[in-house]
Amino acid sequence: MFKYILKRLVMSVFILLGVSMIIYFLIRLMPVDFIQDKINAINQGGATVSEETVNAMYEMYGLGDNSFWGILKGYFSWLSALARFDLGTSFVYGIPVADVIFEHMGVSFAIALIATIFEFLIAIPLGITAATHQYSFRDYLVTVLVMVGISLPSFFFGQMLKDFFALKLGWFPASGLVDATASYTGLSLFGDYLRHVFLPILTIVILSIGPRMRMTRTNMLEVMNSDYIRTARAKGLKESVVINKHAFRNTLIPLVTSLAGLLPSLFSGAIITEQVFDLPGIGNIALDAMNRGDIPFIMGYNMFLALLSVIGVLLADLMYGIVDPRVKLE
Amino acid sequence: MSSNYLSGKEIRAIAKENKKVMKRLEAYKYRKADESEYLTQMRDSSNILEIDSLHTYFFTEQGVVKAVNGVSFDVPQNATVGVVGESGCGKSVTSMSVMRLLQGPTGQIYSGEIRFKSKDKDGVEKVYDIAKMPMDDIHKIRGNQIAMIFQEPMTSLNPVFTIGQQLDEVTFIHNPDASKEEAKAKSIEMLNLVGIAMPERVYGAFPHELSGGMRQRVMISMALASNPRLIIADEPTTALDVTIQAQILDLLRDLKTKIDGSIMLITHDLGIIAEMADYVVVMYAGRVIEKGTVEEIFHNPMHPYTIGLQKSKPTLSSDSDTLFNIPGNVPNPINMPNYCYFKERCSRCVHKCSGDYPEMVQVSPTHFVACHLYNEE
Repeated sequence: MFKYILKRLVMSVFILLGVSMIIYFLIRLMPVDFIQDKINAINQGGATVSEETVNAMYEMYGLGDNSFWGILKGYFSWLSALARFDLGTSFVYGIPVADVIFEHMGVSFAIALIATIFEFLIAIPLGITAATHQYSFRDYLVTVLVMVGISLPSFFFGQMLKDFFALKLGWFPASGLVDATASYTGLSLFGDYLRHVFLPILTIVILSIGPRMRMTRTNMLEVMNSDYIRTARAKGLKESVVINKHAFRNTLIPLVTSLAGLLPSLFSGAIITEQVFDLPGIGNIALDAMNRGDIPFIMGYNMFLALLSVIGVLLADLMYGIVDPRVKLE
Repeated sequence: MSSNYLSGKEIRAIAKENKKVMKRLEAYKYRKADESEYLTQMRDSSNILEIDSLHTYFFTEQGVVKAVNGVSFDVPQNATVGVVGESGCGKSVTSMSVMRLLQGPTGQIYSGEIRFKSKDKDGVEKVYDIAKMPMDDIHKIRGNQIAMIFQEPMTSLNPVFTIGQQLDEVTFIHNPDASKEEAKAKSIEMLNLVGIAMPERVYGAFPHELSGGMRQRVMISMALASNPRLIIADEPTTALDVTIQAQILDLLRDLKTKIDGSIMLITHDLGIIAEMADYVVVMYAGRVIEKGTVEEIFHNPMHPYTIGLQKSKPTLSSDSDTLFNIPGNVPNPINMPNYCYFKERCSRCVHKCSGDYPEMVQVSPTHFVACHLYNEE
């Protein structure tokens, strides 16, 4: 087991190296130029920037040479900094990338965690009832509602919720994370946070229940039709025990493993939802960085997610070994 | 053939009709009912199970599949009744009906009676009509008085629980106050009974760690753990190799005398029937076409189908290179005609065969056959 994990971790290093190289090259080839935008801004202010200053700025940011060897050199200098645990300094914010990530991750993580918990708590029972009452009114109702949820785009649905609950009814604040006009402290500040994240969480939960519920339903149906469920019934077990013990324990296998695979999405932030509700989450920041060509931040953010993905996949495989006795990890 | 083609209109008409019937039958299945509603009397008190004109239908999109279409036979006390027939003739569906394990809402007992003489812990005998029992009360007999062994030992055990957990469960169903140690002792005793060499080790093992034969033994021990009065064995040896087959059959025979119960043995292997059964029921396309004692069926088969089956058995003595087979196929179970289902394949067809489906004719006190050849009038 230990050997298996070690082997996987060593493999992960190579995966991450490949991922970082691809991302770095892609960003450098992106038609966004942070320096040019900056100079344009200065020019608009009325001042003029000399050719030499421009070149010096390109050199300073390490973006002078856009040939293949130049990009490769840039990549290795990024990599050697990483080896010293330095993700570099964000172009836009002027502070270390790691600080930017950790500063904004909290909000996104809290929202994603709460949303994921509710997603599972709602989707799994719905999936099970839909499966155990297949083709009944209940099944169709759940399936249709969930289908509607899947089909709604988050920018539309989020905006609808905002319009109705925040602007029309005024039950929740429309945007931001704190009420700027009031100065809350302690528990009331926490309450204010909750009021602000309620609608974003609601949006994410309703939109993500669908796939999870469909997955539970499909798994449950497959399990309910298996021979060992017939055996459990033939034994004389009550139907509730058959469903909640024998069938559910088997349905749990793919669910638990998919849970481990969710790890990166807990930290990645919900880009569009955060934008709709104007939350200072990491998704919002990342989109902004992408638009402005903040290369160190994009690299840092994407590598962070790549690392989490690799760990998530490893965790999912380890989970398999725990929840499914048939799987042995070598 | 165009009979398999259905227009959209026909499909909708079928779906509408099915929905109505299924809804009624499902409601009947899950109704609350007093015991008096399904108490009944045995026709012959020496029987433990009497199946009387049982109709089990599947309401599919193509139409109503009459998988069991008026099956009647008895299982006497302390006897082994073999049910034979080719694949799809309704033998398994008959056993599923007795266990009430049909997959709803498509599979339903449409009509008929399944009378079972049950005996509770205090020794009080009551006769239940299983077909009329609501699902809430089915645990009175299912897994308790009647146990079932399935044909697929490889997939019949829950892969995520140990053998011990699955066996203990049976003890807890029948004795909820039992302690963990008592349940374990009972489970190990059961594993010993079915001849498992290292019961302690198997007790803690997961199903995938056991061979097919071992799993079938576990299934049998699970069926026996509740001291059933009737064991339904649905092709218990089909998935096993021949040596294990013989061992499992020996085991079943020993156990029958040990628990003093009856066995309903479902198989398509005539060799197993000859070896194990006291009575034989031959089924064809959802109907019983011949039934009698094992001697009658093997030494004096009367229905052309049974005769054909006997002839198609491979023997060492015959010189022939090819195996005899009955020409043709089992008819499509949807929209069965009202004449003998075997007519198209029968080599001894007479003029009368085009008429109504033949009645059961009694040829000896125990021997019955449904064929116009033996109908006197």
